[in-house]
Amino acid sequence: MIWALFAALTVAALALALRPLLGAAGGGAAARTDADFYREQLAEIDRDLGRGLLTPEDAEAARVEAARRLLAVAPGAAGPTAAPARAARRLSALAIAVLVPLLAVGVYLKLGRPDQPDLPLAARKSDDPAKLDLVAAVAKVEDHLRRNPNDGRGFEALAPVYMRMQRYRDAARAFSEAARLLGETPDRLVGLAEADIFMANGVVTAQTRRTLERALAADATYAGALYYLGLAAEQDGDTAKAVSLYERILGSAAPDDPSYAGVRRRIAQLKGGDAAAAIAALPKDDQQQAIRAMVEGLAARLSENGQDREGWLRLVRAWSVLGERDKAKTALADARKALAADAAAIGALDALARELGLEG
Amino acid sequence: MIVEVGHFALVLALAMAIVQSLVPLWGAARDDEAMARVGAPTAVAQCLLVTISFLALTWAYMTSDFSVENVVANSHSAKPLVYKISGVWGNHEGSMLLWVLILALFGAAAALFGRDMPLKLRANVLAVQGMVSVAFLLFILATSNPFARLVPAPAEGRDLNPLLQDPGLAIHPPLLYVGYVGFSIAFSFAAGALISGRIDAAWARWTRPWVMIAWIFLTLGIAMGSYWAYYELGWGGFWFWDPVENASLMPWLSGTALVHSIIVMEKRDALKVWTLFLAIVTFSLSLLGTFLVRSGVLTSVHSFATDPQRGVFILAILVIFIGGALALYAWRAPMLKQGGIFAPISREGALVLNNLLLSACTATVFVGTLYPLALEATTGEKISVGAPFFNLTFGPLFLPLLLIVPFGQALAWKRGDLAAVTQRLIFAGVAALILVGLLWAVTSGESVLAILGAGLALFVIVGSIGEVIGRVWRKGVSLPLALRRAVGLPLSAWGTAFAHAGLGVSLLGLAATGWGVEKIVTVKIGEIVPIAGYEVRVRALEPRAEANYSETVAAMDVLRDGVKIADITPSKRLYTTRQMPTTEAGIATIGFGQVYVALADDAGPDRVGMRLYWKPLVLLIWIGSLVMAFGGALSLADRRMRVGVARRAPARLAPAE
Repeated sequence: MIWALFAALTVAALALALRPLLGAAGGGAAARTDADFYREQLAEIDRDLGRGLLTPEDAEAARVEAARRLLAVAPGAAGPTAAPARAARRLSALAIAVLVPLLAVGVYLKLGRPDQPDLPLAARKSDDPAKLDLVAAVAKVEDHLRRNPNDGRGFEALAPVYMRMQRYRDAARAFSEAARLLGETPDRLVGLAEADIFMANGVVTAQTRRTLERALAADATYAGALYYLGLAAEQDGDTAKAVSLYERILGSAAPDDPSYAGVRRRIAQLKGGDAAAAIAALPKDDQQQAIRAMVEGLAARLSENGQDREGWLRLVRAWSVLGERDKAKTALADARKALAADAAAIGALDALARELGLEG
Repeated sequence: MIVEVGHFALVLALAMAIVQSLVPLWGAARDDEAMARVGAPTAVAQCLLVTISFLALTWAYMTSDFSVENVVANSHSAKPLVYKISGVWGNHEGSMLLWVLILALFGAAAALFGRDMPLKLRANVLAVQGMVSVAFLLFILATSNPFARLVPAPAEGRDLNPLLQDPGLAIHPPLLYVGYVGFSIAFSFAAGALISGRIDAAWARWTRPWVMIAWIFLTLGIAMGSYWAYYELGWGGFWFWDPVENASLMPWLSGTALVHSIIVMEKRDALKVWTLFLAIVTFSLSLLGTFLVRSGVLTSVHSFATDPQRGVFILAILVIFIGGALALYAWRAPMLKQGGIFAPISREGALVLNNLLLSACTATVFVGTLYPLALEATTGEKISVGAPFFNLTFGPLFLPLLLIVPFGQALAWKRGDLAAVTQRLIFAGVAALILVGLLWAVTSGESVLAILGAGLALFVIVGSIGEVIGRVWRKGVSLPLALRRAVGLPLSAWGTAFAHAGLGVSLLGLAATGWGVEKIVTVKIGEIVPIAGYEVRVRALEPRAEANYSETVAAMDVLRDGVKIADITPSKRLYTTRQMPTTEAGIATIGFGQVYVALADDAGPDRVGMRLYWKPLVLLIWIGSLVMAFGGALSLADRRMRVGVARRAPARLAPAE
């Protein structure tokens, strides 16, 4: 369909351009000269005089001027003559007819996106949910909220979506609107604080701190509020306060709950310097747990971005050391797939596999 | 699909422009009529295709099609429709497309209206016009494609720069571009004549309407831009000698020279070679202006150096066209026949002086604009050349020019009588002196420059209008006869009088800035601030929210003798998407003067900080430009411009025009 339109445009343009070349040779008006111009001018003066656009005196003066210049024109100064050069004319017509479409299509294919349909906003906001993409859905809700600015539920639904889209400013506004309209809850307050912190590139500002403290006043064990206040204390350099806040998070958790491994590690780091030392300082079970959490984190990272040779080598070795031969083998296979293009990496993986006895 | 059709049409337009620039040229060179005729239909086809392309982009803006990168970067679905449309040319890519559209429109118009031109000249002119199109279409497609797509499409655009969300944007760039690009026709005519190796008899007559149209639009465009800056930027200034402004002033100055020299060429067959040169220079300055504004070289020479793709491309266009045209000129101009001789004291002589002064003015602005750039590029030193430089260099050149305007208008062609002319201008001179004396007495000699400027302005106005009146009326002539004579006077004579008087009116407005009053105050709500015989009272401060911005509006009354005469609402806006603040000035027009209020930053909950101005006669600056453009339009409408009447003076009452 679109190519039919392109073809129609091209044919129309060519029809215009080629007409003079394909017309009968020497047809149409004869070549015009300066003399013709003055003769026509004399006629035009008469016409203007007839229509009353010029006064008789002006017309006479103009006639004299034009006639004088007509006499002055050299009789030999002719314009182009219609020389019968049909061959050259045909050739140039053929060249135009071939080269214009070639050039247009060639350049267009390089620049254009013929497969890409128009995407006017109105169509994207249609009510057919199958056609609704996430961004369009957000736009639709936004539109609704612009007309109903007191719909707290709408803001509440939109806020976490904004966070995921990394539109932190909008997220902060949506959380605070939700809190204003539906009442403050720890969830809404911490959401607002989190958005503010992301907006400030990780810095917990004094105002954000007050928001967090309000959340904590409502629920003294709310993990999110404790965590970000702990972060604030760290940013102040108050390690002791940070540790005590982080420990309050653990206070309400089961001791081996893996989702708190990160907090435990952070506490250990704050207490004892680097991560390795922190892990060494943990009880035996916790140690294993922390190492596992680290390895799992590495695996998750590599599954998202596999272009990291050192990471893969470390992962394979780590699973092997932890006694997880099957996981090590799976990681090895994944690594070979991810790094297939990198011959040196494949060589290193092969060597590691032999060393760890993972082959066969 | 509409977007892609627009994209394809643009590529096809390039192909048509290439045909347009090669085939007619070849046809003219080997005297092949059919090939020479190819120019006109390809120019029309190219114009239609670019129009389709422009409409497609406009459609994408109107429907907020965020799969088009250009729309994302410069639009927002909550923006009012008129700004969605004007947003099409409120950005680099779109404005270049508008540029090419106007270029193509002029090309097609020249093809359609040029039917009675000698075929060879017409072929060459259209070929050159086609070459300019090729260059700029290539530039758009290679470096600034407005049809680039974005997948996946974001939900919302990044909005248009709030300073541009104004009716000014809808009007100013199109006017300015018609002016800039209109001179391309003069350029093509000059290059066409040089390629043909001869200036056809009626060259000036064919070229002059295009030059006139371009000049009228450029005048309006500059005036509009200046008024826009005045009310939108909130600085209370209307001309900053900013490089972007200078970029439009340079072609205006040389275009003004061209408008005058082409008259000499048309009427007296003289100054031919100089006129061709001016035609080339004027469009070259338009190209230079496009380079300055579009390459990013103005933001910083260094930003240009880090992303030079666009700049280098336009620079190449600049070098090829200016260099090519000047080389052609150097080669061909000596072969052209010179005509028409005249005495130094004559209309022609005065126009030569006008051209000399205007050229010198152009050179001044050129140096003042480019020297800082050259200096920064070579030594890294940043200097700023502003009003002090231009006041010292441009002023002394332009003021004498104004002084000779009434003389030139009153002198006869070929050989003039300066004494007689001076005698006729005595009335204007006396009127000016009386005004100067009165002003001196009233202001007790303050701001001497303003007083002298006002005197000069009155001299120009009275001298210009008086010259026409002198031709239709003198003692003893009855009113009906005078009226009949006034109607019988050629429109071009009226055009001259209006254009020159407009210049005087603008100058009067400029001179009056010397009596302006400025105050910076912080006041409580309800407080009254006196300014130049008026009073401004702050009534209330109220926040307001609109679809794409929020604002704080200060409602104020303007009072005279305690009686309210106007309501103004200056405000500070914050545009949500770009988080960009703007200042909207509150302006009350009283006669030709204005009370102008711009809010300063927040001073507190019940206090307002503001800058207050009284600007006497300030509107005359722009009214004068309108009058000038009207004069140009009158001259354009003159039938004689087409049939060419050069009449001898039939009576002493109406000296040769």
